[in-house]
Amino acid sequence: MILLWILLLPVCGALLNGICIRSKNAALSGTIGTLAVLGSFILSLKVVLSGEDISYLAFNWIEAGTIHIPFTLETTVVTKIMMLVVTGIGTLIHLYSVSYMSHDKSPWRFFAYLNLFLAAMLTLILSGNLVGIFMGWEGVGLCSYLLIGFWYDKDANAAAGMKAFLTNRVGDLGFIVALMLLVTYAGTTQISELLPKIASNEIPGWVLTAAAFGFFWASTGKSAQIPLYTWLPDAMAGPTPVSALIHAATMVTSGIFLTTRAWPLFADQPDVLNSMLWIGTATAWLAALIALTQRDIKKVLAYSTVSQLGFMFAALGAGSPAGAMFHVVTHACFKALLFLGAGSVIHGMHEEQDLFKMGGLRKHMTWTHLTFLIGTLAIIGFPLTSGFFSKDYILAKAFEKGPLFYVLLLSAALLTAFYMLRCYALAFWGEARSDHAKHAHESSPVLLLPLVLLAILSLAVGFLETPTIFGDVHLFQRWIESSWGGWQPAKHGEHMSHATEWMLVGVTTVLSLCVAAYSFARYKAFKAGPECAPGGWRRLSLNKFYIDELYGEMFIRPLKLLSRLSNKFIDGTLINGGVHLLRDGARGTGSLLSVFHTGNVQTYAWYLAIGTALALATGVWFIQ
Amino acid sequence: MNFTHLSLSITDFHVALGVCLFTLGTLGFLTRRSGIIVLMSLELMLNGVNLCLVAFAHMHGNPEGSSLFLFIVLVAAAEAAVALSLLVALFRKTGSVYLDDLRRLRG
Repeated sequence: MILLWILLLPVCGALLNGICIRSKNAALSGTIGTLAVLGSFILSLKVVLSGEDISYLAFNWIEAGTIHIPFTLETTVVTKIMMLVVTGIGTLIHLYSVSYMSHDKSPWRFFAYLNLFLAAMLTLILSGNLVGIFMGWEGVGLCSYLLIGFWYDKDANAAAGMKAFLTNRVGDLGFIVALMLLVTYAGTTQISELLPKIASNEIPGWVLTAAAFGFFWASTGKSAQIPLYTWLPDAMAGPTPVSALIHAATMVTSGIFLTTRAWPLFADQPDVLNSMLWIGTATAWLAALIALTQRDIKKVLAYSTVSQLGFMFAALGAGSPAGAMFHVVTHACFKALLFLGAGSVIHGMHEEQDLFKMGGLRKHMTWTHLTFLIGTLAIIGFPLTSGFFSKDYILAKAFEKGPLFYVLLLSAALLTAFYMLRCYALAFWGEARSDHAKHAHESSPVLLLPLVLLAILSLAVGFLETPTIFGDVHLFQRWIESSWGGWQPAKHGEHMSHATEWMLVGVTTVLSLCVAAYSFARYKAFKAGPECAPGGWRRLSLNKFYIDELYGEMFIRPLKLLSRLSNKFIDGTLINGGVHLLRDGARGTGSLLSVFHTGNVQTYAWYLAIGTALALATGVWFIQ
Repeated sequence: MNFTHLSLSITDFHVALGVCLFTLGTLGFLTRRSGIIVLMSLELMLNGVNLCLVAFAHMHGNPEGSSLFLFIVLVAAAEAAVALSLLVALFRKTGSVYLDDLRRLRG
């Protein structure tokens, strides 16, 4: 029952804000929204602290012949972690939005959507049934669409929302196919029933492989991996708190959550895992390369998010859901922090997002600067921050899988260090490069409080899982590995030696810090110069390797052509032609017959006379 | 038809006269253009039929036919009054009683 309330509180908030009150006062609607999520957070905390796994049958949802789909809410360890992340960071971001959206025309709409998003996300997390997860999956997609296009009077924003929604639909196809396969061959979509069946080999192997690929395909959509990642950078058109909550901290990690939740389905599928590893690594690389030259502060962070999601998928592919989930949690903290910091900067700069027009902001925005610095250090893996531990964990797993992946991921991490320090230095150091930057102002305390709390979290959460050489805490691994009922992952190989661990950590840290220092020195005193009109590889990177254009030529143009053709021939010629034929036929017959309709009463009298005469003649002829 | 034993009774003459009246009325009704004359032709048709009715009643020695005739004349008089007043109203509205001018119901 308590789980149902966790779910229903945001729903209540959304209804209250969106339908009942509709207040233009951001403080009022913001308070309602924040309290609803805070309530969910407190209840979640209660569930987590009680330490028990709960399973709650809300109602029997779909009963059709042999298909039996109940609506259940269940907690396992993965669920609890995600629940805390979503409601906890959700609360902070709601609080932040109260100040951030205070000048908006319709804050009630914003908070209603945001609460609705949390309800959908919690459905996704808590549902014990894959169909319920799918409902949440679609729900977060819808809210993402609504919030990206929140300022819908700008065409670009509406288009970005549409792009996100449609790209996700392409991915969702995989989810639907996987669901159908499981319903047909496994007879259940209830995760707690599915996992034992997988363990006891009751389901044909190809079904599992196909279903795992289907879920992975869906995840590439929702979690922005190659080939479906292009929507996420465009999604930055939404308000900054939305970018922080949905497009960095929570929704985009649902692919990783799904994989971890149903890990036994993936664990014995080497093909699926290998494609995850390759795609994750490639995404981490590609997105990091694009992030190197972006000018929009939010675009840098967006590509950084794509890149970090690539790290998480690489961890899954290397067979470590614990590493992926650990990075999900740390990333949620520091990326939310970075986005909120960027929002504070944008706010202080009067909606200016161009890094080349910032500079010297550290003098005007002390707290934003400090917290953004902490976020930057965390994401590049500065020793003892949260990103240090989680990235190190993933790199160690990649090293176990093969040195090639280690090198690739390490270089992606170095790129991260470069572009993050570039972003930080461009925004906060050097001379002010525009009037807005000269007169930037610090944001209000309501806006800064979440920043400070998230900064503390970004520093602290890393200590939940530390390598042997740093105290040997393995909470995460223990937690995650206890979340599949009786199913246990196969233990593999001996543990890494201390020397290897030291070496990996040392190499990663030293190289990252060198790159970071180089980047900082390079952009510390940046003056508008050749980079403003880049050439060569920089232009390639700035234009995102023309992937959007490529997709446009490959998919969108043929699709548009097909639509035009079908509009012209199927709709125009075939359907319209048929209807017009009927119409012309009726009209022709009518005009032919209307010759007899003269309107003159005597004509009708003639018809009557002739008719009567004919009838009489026929009658007489028959009688004789 | 066989005309060899042609012997005409009084009834035959009356019926023949009735048929003539009816035919003349029909022709007038179909061909004349003035509404008033068309109405008159209509009365002529009615009276042709009435004459036949009376003739047959006489032939059968049945007085009911003759009395029915009186009622018909009565109703016809009322109907003629209605028709004439319609014509007057039409004339006031359109300035014409010629049926060729009254074809506004043509689709």
